[in-house]
Amino acid sequence: MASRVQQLILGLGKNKQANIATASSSFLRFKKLDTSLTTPKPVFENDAAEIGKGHEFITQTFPSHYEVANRLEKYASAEFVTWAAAYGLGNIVQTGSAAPYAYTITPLNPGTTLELPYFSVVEQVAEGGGNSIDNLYIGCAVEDFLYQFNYGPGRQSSKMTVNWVGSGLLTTPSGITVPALTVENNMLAASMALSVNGTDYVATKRILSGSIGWKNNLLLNAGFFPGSGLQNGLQVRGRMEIGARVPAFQFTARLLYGSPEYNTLVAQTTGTAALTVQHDANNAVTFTFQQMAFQTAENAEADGIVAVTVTGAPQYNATNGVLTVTTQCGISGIAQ
Amino acid sequence: MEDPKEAVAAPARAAAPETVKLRHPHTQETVEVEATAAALVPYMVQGYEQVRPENPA
Repeated sequence: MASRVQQLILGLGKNKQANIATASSSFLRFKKLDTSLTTPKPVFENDAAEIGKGHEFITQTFPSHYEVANRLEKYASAEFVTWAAAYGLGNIVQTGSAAPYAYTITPLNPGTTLELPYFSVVEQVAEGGGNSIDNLYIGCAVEDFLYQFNYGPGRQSSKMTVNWVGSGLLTTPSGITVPALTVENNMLAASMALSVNGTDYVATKRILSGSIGWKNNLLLNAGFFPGSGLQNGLQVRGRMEIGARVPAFQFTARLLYGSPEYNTLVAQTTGTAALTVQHDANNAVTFTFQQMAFQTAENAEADGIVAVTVTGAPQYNATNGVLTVTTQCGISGIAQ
Repeated sequence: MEDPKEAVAAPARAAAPETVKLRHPHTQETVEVEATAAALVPYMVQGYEQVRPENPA
C-alpha cells in the first residue's frame, strides 16, 4: 500500500510557543496548494577533504546539525493571512471579545527583541493503518511571506505563500490530535481596494497584479551557538533571530495618458500604500505601507495591453513604522 | 407602562470604545489606548506589547 499526498494533515501552531523548545498547545489545520512535505534533514560531515589518510575518499562521517524548512502556498484566506502576518512580523494586538476578532500587527521593534514568536508544525500522512509521516516540528519561525494578487477569476487571484524554518527540534510520532479543517474565508482580488501615494488604482480599473512581501532574513547560523542543544547527537538551533528585514511591494497597472507613476518616481514623492481584500465585513485584511516612494516604474504589457510595473521602496515612518497589517477573522488566539 | 417623558429624558448611553493595555517590555511603562490601528501602531512601533494573562501588568 502507499499513500497519496492529499492525505497530508497539516497543523500549524495557533498559539505561540512559550519558548523555542516548547511545542504549541493548540493547532489550526489548513489545506495548502504545494505538494512539498517537510523533511527532517540530519546533516553529516565527512573527512573526504582531510589530508593524512593516503587517499581522497571518505573514511568517517560526523554528525553536524538538523535542517528543517518548508513552504506553505495557499489561497489567501483571512485566517491564514492573519496567521502568516502575525508570525512573520511578530508584534500582535488582538481585540474583540467575540468574533470577528481584530488583529493589529506590526514588525518587531529590534530594540526590544530579535526573536519572532515561535510556532509548531505537525504533518501526518496515514498509511497502512498507521502513519508514513507523523512529525512535530518544534520551534519554527517565518522566514518570509508573500501576498500575491492577480487579475482573472477565482481563488488564484489572491494567494499567500510562507517560507518557514525550523529549529531542528522534532518529535516523532507527533502525539498531536490535529483538529478539523479550519473553515477559511477566502478573499478574492475582486474585493480589493488599493490606494498608492494618493492614487486609487481600483476606481480607475487600472490595477492588474502585484505583491506584498516581507523577508526576515533569519540569522540561521547564529542559532547554532555554544550550548544551543543536541538531538540524536546533531546540533539544533537554540534561537532564530531576525536579520536585516526587507519589505517589498510591487504592482502592475494599465498605463494611461496622464498616469502618475513616472512623475511620482522622478519626484520621489512619498505617501501611504494601502491594500485591502476581504471575504466579507467580518473577514478582511489590510496591508498598509506607512510611507513609500517608487524605486522603479517600468513599461510593460499584460495580455497585449500597455502597462506599467512599479516597484515600491517602503520607508520607515517615524510614527507608524514600515508596515501594518490589520485583519479581522473568526479565530481568536493566533500567535497569542 | 414606560413614561414617554422619562424615556426621552434618559440620555442614550454610548458604548465605551474598547481599549487595549500595552506595556513596554523594558521600561515596563503601561498605556491604555483605544483599540484602533491609528492609536495602537505608534506604540507598537516603539516595542509596546499587549498585556495578556500570561504577562499581566
